Amino acid sequence: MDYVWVILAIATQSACNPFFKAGMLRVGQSPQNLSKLPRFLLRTFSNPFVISGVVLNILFVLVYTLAVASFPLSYVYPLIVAMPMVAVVIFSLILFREKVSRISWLGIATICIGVVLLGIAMG
Amino acid sequence: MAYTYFLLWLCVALNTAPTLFLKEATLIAGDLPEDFSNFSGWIVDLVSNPYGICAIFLFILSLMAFPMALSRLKLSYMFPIVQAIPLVLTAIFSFLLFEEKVPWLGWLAIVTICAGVLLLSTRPGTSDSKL
Repeated sequence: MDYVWVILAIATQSACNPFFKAGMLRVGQSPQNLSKLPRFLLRTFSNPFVISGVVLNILFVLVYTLAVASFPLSYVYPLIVAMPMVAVVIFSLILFREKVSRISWLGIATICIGVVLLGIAMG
Repeated sequence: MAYTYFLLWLCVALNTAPTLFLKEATLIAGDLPEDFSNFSGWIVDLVSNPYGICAIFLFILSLMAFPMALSRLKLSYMFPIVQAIPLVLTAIFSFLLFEEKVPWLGWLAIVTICAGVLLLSTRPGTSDSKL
């Protein structure tokens, strides 16, 4: 039952960052002039994609808290960090047409080996 | 450029600290209740202790810093860096602060995941700050 929180945490974390990126592509770059910052933040947090990202992030915090309470941090944290990372690169490739090099694919493969090792170690 | 990298390292710090505060808060709140009627009491215990409050505050800060950094960096460049360093820091702090027993294969796994993250983030053509 406790594993449900880990799986939900991975799913919500995978989805939220592509939503933020889609939103920020529409909002534009953050200003260096501090006087323009309130207006920038207002535009950022009124963007539907950014709002969706925030909602997913809030859901993530809830299920992440339950996952952290149920398992040792040294086991659950690498898992919840590493799996969405692989997902985000694949989302970046498909949704934002960002180029994914051979080295990146090697990185993804290495992360997957690490996650399997972690599963065996903490089994 | 300096502002971009300040945002990047701020995100690294804000990605490590809240988890550690959250873990301490869950240790104070105790085991998850078996039935859901006691669940609200558990949540109140969690967010009413100083560690829980700190975790929430730092997490809200990270929510603001992430979109700001993302507006200046590629998602596939920034994300691995912001996640790789906290991975090592969190494992070390779990061992030191919470006295979690990490078997040698566990350390090997964390190092392997980090190596993968570094491979992911050090490819050529990603050091520019363009979207």
